[in-house]
Amino acid sequence: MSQSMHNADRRVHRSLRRGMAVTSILIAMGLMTSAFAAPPAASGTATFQIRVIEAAKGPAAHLDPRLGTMKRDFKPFKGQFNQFKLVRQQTLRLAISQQGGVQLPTGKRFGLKMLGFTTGKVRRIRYEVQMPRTRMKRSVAPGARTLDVIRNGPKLIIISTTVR
Amino acid sequence: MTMTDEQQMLLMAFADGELTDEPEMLAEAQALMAAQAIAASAVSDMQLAKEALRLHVMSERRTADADLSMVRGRVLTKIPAPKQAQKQDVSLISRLFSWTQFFDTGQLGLAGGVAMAAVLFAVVMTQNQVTTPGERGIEATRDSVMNPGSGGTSAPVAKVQHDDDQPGVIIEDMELDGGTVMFEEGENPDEAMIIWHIQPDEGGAG
Repeated sequence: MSQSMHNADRRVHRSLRRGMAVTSILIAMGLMTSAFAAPPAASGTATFQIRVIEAAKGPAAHLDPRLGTMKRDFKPFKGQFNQFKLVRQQTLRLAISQQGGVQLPTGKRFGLKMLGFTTGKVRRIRYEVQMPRTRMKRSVAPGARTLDVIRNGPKLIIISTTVR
Repeated sequence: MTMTDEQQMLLMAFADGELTDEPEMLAEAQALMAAQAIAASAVSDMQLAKEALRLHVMSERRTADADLSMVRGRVLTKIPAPKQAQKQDVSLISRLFSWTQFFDTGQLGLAGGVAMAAVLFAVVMTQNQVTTPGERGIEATRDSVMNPGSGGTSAPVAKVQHDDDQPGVIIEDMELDGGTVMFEEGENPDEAMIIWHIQPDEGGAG
């Protein structure tokens, strides 16, 4: 009697151990699967496309062909400026806490620091604009654009930043 | 060299053409500009920004239909308190408060109301919703286009990805060490937010 109870007990233990092993394997497989299915490391980065544009007033209107898609963006400036030239273009891929930037024709630097992402329905990109006298934190929807405008003598420097 | 708040307000009034009936203050402003290149540069920048805003905002948004009576209060509630409030530097926020105080002292005619209205109008006019103080900063476009622009010819555009009832760009926080920053929201959903950096002591970047 006691021998049969002992055997039954051992069977239960074996069964439990087997069950736990199978469960462990399944969990491990699940973890591996989710690891492979996870977005690449690049998901922790944001891509900033920066265009530095020089606006001037001249005898004839001129729009740099490379700025064709931005034509309507220049509408607010057209009262005083009729020439728009792309002077620099740079794409930065920044991970959280990374910094980058572009040199402006003024000699100053337009810096960016990637701060992170917001949670919620839309994963907004949070970054900081760093200029010699200005620091500004922005939360921007993927694809949204800002135009930072500064004066450079008789010209304007327009810094277009698109992030996603 | 920096200017005092009073000098900057005087120059703002000059830039707005508000001193024509105030010969003493007009002379004072002209003397200031003659004495300090910074002052002349500041006036130039103010006029530039004002003109651009006027052309873009006032002419295209049917200002006659706009109710600007609550503009000041609404804008003030939209701008978060500066973290460096104790700094003596001039910022958009502190300047707005300076203007507020200025108005309250009865010198309304000198304060460049047109420029201020244009700026504030640009900030708030297309906001369909009013946010509570501190909830978020200055808001911008609801939609925009992006320009992959790898150089060469025009690049295709892609819609902004946001369907969360939030504007495309939100200014969360801002620190200024002198000068002024003005925001202009895009008129249409596909336009970018324009941010003017005006530094009175430089011809270049702020």
